[in-house]
Amino acid sequence: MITAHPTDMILQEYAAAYIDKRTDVAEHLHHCTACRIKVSQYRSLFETLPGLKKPAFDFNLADTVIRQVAEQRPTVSNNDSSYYSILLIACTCGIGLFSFLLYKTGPILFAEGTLLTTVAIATAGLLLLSVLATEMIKKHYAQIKTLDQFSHAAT
Amino acid sequence: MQSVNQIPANNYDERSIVKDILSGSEAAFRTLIRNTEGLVAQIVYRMIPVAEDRKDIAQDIYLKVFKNLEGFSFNSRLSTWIARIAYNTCLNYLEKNRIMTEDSQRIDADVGADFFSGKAEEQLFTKDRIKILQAAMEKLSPIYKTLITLYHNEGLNYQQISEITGLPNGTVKSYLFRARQTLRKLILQTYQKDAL
Repeated sequence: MITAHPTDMILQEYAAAYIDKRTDVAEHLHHCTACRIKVSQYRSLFETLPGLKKPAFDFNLADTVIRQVAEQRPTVSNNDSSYYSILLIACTCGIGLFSFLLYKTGPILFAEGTLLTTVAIATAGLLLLSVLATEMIKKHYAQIKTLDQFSHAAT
Repeated sequence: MQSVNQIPANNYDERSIVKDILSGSEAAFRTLIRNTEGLVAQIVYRMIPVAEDRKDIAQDIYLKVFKNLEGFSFNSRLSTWIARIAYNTCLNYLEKNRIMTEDSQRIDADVGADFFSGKAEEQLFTKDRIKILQAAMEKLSPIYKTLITLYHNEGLNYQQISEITGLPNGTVKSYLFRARQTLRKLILQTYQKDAL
């Protein structure tokens, strides 16, 4: 039998039935009114706590958050294709100029250079740039599409 | 665009909903918010004493969820991960605003069991229990309130609370013990005051 009072932690665990009822604690409680009352109070606490009213937000959280997500979209407009048109024209002009210069200076730069070599280099460059531009545009539109879905729902 | 009703409110696969949100489904994100806002509200209401700030904090929490969802590794439940974001956001707020996070309502007097006698003791925990408890809860520190709520009100276990708060299991257990002890003493003090 426990002669000293059990600690509060032990009494809490006993009240919550975390420890076996057939222990020295039970025997102590049988003789000790003070500890018995404590256990009774903790038990009451454990029974009452789940009944506390659960708080809830007093506004539509989903709508508010989705609206904010939509507001964080990039500044480039979905319909602003002129940006990409200018980029494409600039690339084409640049490649054309590069091809012309290469055609004119190619024979000097490369002793054995021919028109075929010049065209092959220019074509390879053009292809590479096209692939990169396509990937960039695809990525951008995928991002815009995602944000548009949120934007559409929010407005 | 998917409608909200296409996704069951309380029975969805976490991987599917994350995938849907990342592919741009507004309905999936809306469902996620609706299914987890109860738990988030528990944390926000217990930890944030200024009612006006709760709305901004709640929005901030879900914006963080949206931004970081791609990095969610499914090592824990999605709701636990969101609760952790909520807890950390509230904690940052408390630290930023220098609101005490420790036990700010220490009870000096050890109101022992001998204080009670017969009928008075019965009344304490039978009459208006919830009301008395609610009032006492408000006096607890934000961390204690949150731990008590997560454990007793939300039914989470030590491990889940540990994941949310980032505290070791033993610390959660110890804090919970102290929180209940403080709560009991607060109730007794209130009762004593009323009795006088």
